[in-house]
Amino acid sequence: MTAPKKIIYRVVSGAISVAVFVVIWSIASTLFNTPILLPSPTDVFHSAMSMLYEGELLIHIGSSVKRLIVGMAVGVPVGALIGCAMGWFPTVNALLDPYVRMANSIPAIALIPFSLLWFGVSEFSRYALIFYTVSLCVLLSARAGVRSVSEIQIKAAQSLGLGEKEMFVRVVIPAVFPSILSGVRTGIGLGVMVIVAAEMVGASDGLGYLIMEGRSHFAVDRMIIGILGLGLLSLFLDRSFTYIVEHVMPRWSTKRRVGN
Amino acid sequence: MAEWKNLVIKDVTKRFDSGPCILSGIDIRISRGSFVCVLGPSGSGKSTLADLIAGFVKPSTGDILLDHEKVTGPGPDRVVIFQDFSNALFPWLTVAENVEFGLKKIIGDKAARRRKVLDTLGMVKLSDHIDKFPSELSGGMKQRTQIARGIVMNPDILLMDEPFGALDAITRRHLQDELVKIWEELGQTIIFITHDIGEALLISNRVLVLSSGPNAEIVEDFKQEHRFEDPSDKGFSAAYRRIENSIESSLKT
Ligand SMILES: Nc1ncnc2c1ncn2[C@@H]1O[C@H](COP(=O)(O)OP(=O)(O)O)[C@@H](O)[C@H]1O
Ligand SMILES: [Mg+2]
Repeated sequence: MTAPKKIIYRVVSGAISVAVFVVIWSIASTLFNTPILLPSPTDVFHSAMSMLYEGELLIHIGSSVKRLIVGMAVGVPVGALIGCAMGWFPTVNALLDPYVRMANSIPAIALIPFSLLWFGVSEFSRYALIFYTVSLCVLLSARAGVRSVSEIQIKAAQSLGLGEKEMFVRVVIPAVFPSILSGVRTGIGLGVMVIVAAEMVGASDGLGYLIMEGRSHFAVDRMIIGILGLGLLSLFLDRSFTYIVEHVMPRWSTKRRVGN
Repeated sequence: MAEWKNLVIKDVTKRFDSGPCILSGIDIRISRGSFVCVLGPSGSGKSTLADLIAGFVKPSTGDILLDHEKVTGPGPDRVVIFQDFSNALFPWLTVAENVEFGLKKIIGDKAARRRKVLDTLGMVKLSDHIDKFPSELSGGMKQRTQIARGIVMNPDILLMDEPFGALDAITRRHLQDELVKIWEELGQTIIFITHDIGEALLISNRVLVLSSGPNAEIVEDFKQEHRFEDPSDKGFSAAYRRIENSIESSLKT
């Protein structure tokens, strides 16, 4: 397929998928006929529009995105660095691996009460939860990435005169970069999940807050807006991230590595 | 030519841990500026010999010397060129950046470094592809990039382990010719490993034949005045048969 054809194909198939979803939802809400439990798509669309005009929706989206970005801004580099070090230096791995294994089975949600106890109902406690989730996710893919660095590349660099430390900076980290980026991508998805959980406790804005607040006021339309908003936010962030990697920093795209 | 060093492999044996002896009693002198092929059946230890010279592995006994100085590890005086071209280049760097990779430690001045990189890429006929990434190159172009990345370092020895073994016949023929031309122009030592007798006779005038392993040793040190220009040259088939025979007889024992 040519490029323009591909774009048309994707737009059309996306539109069909959305249309089918909305139609099924309409039919369901008509049959169900209890707007307080399942409002129609039109009703939800109208409330969304009025929330948008009043600026309320953007505030919720903005707060969630800000929490995600702050948590990731710290979590990604920390996870990447520790992951690379664990993959490259066996001693570092031996020291940290037990904790990584344990943390891997402890979801951020399980830490929310603890985080509230330590940091109180604060932005910091939400940042900390996102940091925890994202850094762990990036750490695991970075470590796996280091272990898959081609032995020939290492030998080639040694033969061109690189020592152990230079090797880490000039070969290992760049070679692992695509793995780190795919860890970031997974991290975005997990991060959005954690924000919601974090915002359900004691927050006064954010999409997670919107869902909880909607439930306590029996405003199902607001709950749906919160839920769809989360999904769309995650989709938007994922697609933008992939686009940026492919077009702004193509040398770090996994595509460059396939078949090399 | 005098700046480059002679290589002496002195009574080298190699075994991995408690495994069988792979190479035994390897004793070779390769003087600076020669183009030597190492030929042998697969599994005989050709790559192990290359790894020993490169310094990736250490001999179990014996020494490898560059002008009386012991080789203790890998270094830019013995650049290796690998057969596996899909893994040997750095995929995040362009052709020019790959060639510049090792040079960064040698030439500090950016402009001078760039000039040297471009000159070298001209020698391997890649001037039109300097900003491409490895994923955009054919196998032959990847090997040209690897050769440029090696010769730009001005090493005493260019160690090539079956570099053209995975290329199609036509590309291989081109690269053989170009490699010989580059060697005639630069004049440093090339150690070229291959299992193709014809290739060996067409690119070099000295062919070392390794017997089949374990306990592989050099069973033939074939030297002549000049390399063969063409398989139809007088004496080519006789030389071919002679080398083939020494490989065959080493297989029987
Ligand atoms: N790192 C290693 N550990 C153990 N055995 C090895 C190692 N490298 C090579 N060998 C063995 O040495 C022998 C020669 O291998 P190699 O040098 O790759 O042969 P060639 O390049 O001639 O095909 C083989 O039997 C191989 O199994
Ligand atoms: Mg081999």
